[in-house]
Amino acid sequence: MNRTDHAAVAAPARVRPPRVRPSSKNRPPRDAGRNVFGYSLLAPGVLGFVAVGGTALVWVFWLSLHSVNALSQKKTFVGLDNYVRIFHDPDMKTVFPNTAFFVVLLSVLGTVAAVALAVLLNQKLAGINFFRSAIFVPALVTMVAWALVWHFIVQPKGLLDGITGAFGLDPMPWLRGGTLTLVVFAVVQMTKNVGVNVIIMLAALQSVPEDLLEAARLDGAGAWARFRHIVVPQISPAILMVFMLMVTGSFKVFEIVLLMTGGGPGVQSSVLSFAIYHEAFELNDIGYASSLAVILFLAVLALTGIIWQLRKRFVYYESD
Amino acid sequence: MVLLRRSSLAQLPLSLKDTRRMTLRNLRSRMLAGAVAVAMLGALAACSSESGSDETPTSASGDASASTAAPSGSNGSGVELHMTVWTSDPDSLAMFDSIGKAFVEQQPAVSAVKFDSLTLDQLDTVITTGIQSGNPPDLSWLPVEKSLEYIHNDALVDLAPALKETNGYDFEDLVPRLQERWTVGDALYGVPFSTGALVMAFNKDLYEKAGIKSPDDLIAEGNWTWDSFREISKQLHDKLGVTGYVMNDFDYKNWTRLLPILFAYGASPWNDDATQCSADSPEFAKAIQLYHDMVYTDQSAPLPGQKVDFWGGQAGATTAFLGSMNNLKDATFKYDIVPTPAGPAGDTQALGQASIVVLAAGKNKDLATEFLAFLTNKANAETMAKFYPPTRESLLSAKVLVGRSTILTEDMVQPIVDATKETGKIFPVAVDDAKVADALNRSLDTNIWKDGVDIPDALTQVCADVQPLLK
Repeated sequence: MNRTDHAAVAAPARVRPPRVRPSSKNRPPRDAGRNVFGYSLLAPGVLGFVAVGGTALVWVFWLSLHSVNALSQKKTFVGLDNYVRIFHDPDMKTVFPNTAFFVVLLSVLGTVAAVALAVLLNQKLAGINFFRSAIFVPALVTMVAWALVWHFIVQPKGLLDGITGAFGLDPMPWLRGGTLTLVVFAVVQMTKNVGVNVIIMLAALQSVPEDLLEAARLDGAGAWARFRHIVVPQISPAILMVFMLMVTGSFKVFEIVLLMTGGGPGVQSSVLSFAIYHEAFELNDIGYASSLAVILFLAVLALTGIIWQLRKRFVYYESD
Repeated sequence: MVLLRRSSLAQLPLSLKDTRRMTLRNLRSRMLAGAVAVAMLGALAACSSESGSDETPTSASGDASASTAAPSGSNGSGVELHMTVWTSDPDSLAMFDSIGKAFVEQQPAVSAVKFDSLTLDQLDTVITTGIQSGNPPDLSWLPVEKSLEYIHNDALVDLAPALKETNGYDFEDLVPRLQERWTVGDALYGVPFSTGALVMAFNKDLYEKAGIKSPDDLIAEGNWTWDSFREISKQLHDKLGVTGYVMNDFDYKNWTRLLPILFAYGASPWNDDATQCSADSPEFAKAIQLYHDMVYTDQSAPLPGQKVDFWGGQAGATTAFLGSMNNLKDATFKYDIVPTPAGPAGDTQALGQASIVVLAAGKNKDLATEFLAFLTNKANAETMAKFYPPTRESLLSAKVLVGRSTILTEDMVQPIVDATKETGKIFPVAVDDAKVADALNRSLDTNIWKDGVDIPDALTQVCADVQPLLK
């Protein structure tokens, strides 16, 4: 029984009118005025988005239908040729699977790590604030500096090879392409940004009502059961948010690829965002790069939409 | 409760008072919305008018004399010329600034010359993005590898007429052989201001510590070849565990740094007119085999991805441009600079080259051309020779090159000057350089730079990757 029903019961003498949602035409003037006021407040942001983001989107799509020679300033309409070319480009047979693998790996790994670390940092221990700060420090470092430090760790005959060598293992080709290099990228990216996600998770964990946990404890629920059936549902909106941020963010990972391998050897460690940069700014193939950018945009949009639609099955909201 | 009230209100007929309130509120909201919209439009209009005013100098792109006659220059509001350079050396930039100021003093149509410093790998991006956005630099340095690509796409201005007409320029003093990559018929699309030799620097301390022959010793013996250099590099690695040889700026992504070895073996990735891949030739295979063996058999050169810093004392020797030897000013070890070793093709000298160009898409082409003539005249070329090896016959001497350098000596530089004049070969150039170089770098990285490779077989694949892009 919701609030409306309560109110209806409280006034039994009156005949309850049928509940009809007012259309925009017969909406009360007070609502209409508020809406106009609200839209006015939104207008600067929306106009800014249209002027910058929207225009760029339309312009990129327009460019994707052209063959563009940046040097001679010639632009030739080629229809969907650039999109057809994507299917025949042998490089894309590596780039797309790499991107998919990287996005899945980083999104899942990043979300799980953020939850796990937040749970660890949510303990009431002496000096816990030091660890909470320490996990956030990498987020304050620039990506370039972070990638260079990691490069020294994973380079041939580097620190990591030294450590594995101490256990009698042969040196590993950490940066020579394939799955191993993508895993290295995922670890580098995850360790850089996990602090931000941990803060989000920590805030969510600290808002889990103590009385729910206490009630479960009294009912005999163990630590895992309390976590699985109380904590996870309570923080599920935060998990969703972090997961979506990780998905969209991992599609756009670029600096690590540029700084650590340049996408090589060949295109073995390239991902879609780097391929777009490479085609546009290193090969001056603006039209083709634009078509790849449109594909990237659609992929992010589709995946975000699917996750958003699936949220009701996995996310617990108090209002449900 | 709020929900109930709203839905109840929705069912009630509107009174006159309500209607008036609604009208007033709507009016207020609409006025507010209108004010916001007007403010936004005003901001956009301001942006448009600003960009419009930016375009005003476009009118100065008539002929130079018309620009010179423009009254705006006299009150300091003349054209601002922009030039991109890929140096961040403060001394070098100060030198350019002083030349720029001297030009502004004699040309009232120009209010300032700005030098935008960037790295070489950013250059293409900055220029093409600038052209696309309608705001490219007026002048730029351009490496010789890009010459054909830019000329082929009509992106550069022909400088020959203006330079020949400039009083005291001494056009004939420019060494013709060193202008070849920038010349099409009578047209000249760039003035090389720096023809830099790829030379070898070595760490004397490390060779002394290892107790082995140094490059100086091999030169004295008349045995200065890549094979003998490979041998001492291996000895250095075996005795001290350090890297024997690292190519500066190579990182397995810049094939041009292999040219000292390739030229010594008489190899080039493509033929003279860049229409046929020759990376599968026996000469190319032998040159690549030598370096491959240094990496994977001798382990005297770094693996792909491995960072080794010669300038910090981590390697026995490096090959780098003469201009890069400034890195030695903070060296904590004794060093020497020598020409690169010889090979089966004899003594050769790989020459990189950079020119100053005027971009055809620039807004102030004539003033930019005038500044280029000023910047590369004999007096300023001599000033620049302190940093950049000149291409003027009268200035191509060890004495000018050394200048006031605390790193170089005339004894070091004289053999390099001789090699530049006699055996120097400028980098090979392809029309579609960006794509060809990318294909070559990627193919070498994929097929060659790994252990246990059959080099001739792998080079067949390299040519298969590169050939479709050669025109």
